Amino acid sequence: MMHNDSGNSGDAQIVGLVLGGNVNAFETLMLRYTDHVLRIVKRHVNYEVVEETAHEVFVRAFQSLSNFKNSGNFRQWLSSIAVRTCYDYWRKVYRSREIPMSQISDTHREWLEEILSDRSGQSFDEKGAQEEAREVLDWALERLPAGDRMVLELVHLEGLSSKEAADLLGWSVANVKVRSFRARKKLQKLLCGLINDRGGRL
Amino acid sequence: MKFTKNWQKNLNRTLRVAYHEKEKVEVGGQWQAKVMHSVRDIHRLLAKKSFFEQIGDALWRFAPVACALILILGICILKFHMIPDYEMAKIMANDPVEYGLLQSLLM
Repeated sequence: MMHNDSGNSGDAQIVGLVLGGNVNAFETLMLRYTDHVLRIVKRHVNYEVVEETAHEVFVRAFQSLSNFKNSGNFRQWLSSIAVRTCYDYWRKVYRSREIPMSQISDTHREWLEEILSDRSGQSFDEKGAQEEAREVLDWALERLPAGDRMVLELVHLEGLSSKEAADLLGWSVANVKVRSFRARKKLQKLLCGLINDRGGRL
Repeated sequence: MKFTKNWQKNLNRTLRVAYHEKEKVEVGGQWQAKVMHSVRDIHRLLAKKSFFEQIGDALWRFAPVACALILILGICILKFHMIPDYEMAKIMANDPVEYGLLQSLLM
């Protein structure tokens, strides 16, 4: 999440132009950070809603541009908006339960058992790249509350520190630590249940 | 089945790879034009705000200062017993009508 000073001052200048009424200057900012925002959004939401969520991120950024402090890092500020937009998306989904939950099959259980026994001869990178890996991950994450999901993704899957995750989510570090511990336990329980339950239901 | 430390480590590593694989999904470029369209719409709506709405927005910024002033004045009144009716009654009691200006000043 590092960004150089010239980039920061350049961003601040563009922000100044937009706030001064030159709306078209916002396009420069958007094009500059599209890849960055997309990378964040793709990790946190499902493929079908990536464009919609990225759209929302930039609209929110435009609406709260006056809150951006020129001394700050625009990239970091935008990352925080992107993460919080994804979090809000999942909160909405969990509240309305509008997306049907994915189901797990015996192929996924076999994939998990292979990791357990480590008998397939494939590297973890190869196993992780398999479709089953992504489906098992999505299956488990779908069953966690939005906050647990976000903290698990940021801390355990992306490897961010509790402080970095707290800054992105706008939570306290203590809250992130507690949620992260609980979320990991819940994920373990889910995956353990998946292996134990050969009948296919949790 | 017990969730052993080794399995947990292997699973975490594998899921981390799966998680980063999600980034490789390709996304079209049409949405950016839609973003700019939305941004211009928002800007237009904000520019269309009536004079009174703009005044209202500006006045709300002073609300915390007004609250703080009310609080400070309230504390001052309570602390220094500045009750206007009481003060007026006190002046009247100490200043009977028959006293002349000189007498009042000498008291």
